[in-house]
Amino acid sequence: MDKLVLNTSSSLFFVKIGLVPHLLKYFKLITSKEIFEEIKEGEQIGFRDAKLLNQYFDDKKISILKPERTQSIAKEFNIKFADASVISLAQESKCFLATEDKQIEKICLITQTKMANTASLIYFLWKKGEFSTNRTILLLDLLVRNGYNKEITLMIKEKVMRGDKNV
Amino acid sequence: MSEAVYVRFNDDELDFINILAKESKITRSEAIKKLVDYAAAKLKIEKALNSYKEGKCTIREAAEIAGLRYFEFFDVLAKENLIGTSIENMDRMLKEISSIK
Repeated sequence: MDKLVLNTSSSLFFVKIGLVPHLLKYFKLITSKEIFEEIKEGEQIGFRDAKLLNQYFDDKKISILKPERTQSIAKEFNIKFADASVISLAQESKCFLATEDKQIEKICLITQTKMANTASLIYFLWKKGEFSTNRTILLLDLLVRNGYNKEITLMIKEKVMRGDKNV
Repeated sequence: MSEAVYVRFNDDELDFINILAKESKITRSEAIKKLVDYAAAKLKIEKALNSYKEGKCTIREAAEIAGLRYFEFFDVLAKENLIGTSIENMDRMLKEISSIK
């Protein structure tokens, strides 16, 4: 089973729209200690989505791994350890990094690290038959209502409505 | 450490400060301080949003500029519908994700 590295940004959207149980059918979800601690802190200060995410950690549905190159990536790109840790983890695990962060996206492009965002993962699940077309469109609408980029969801929505599975 | 600063206000500004002080049951100095704190918080968020939009920093770094926690700043980004990576990279992303069997 392929692994999928979670950054806080993408994992927040996964819980907002109930994507985690579906992703678990296709991916082993992993993240770093830095992200886990950030989510723990989120729960402590009262964020509902953080509390829901922590439940997945408690149930061992999301594994915490220790990447090797956090420090060198943080230094090379002058970014925080939490950001560097997920890039490092995706590189070492040769898998996708799920993120919604534009700056991390740039670094992924430079370092040729595979990445996915929530909208692309919804498209993937639709292609796999996990979601019907109607449900996919509802999920994309839900993303926008939760603050997601409208342009991206519109692009995916058009593909799904056309039944376009060729990319 | 604090320092007294001499500032000249016009009539409209002074009226507003007087009303704020009266309504909040605080002194005029406290009202001015309250306004400065409020504006500073707003301006820090504005600066953080601009830095993120211009691609100068990650969400985490922008949260720090805003003086907010990650989750708090994420909510700010969501209110502006700014969550999501760039549209230009979507075709490549869809192609890559579709390669998973």
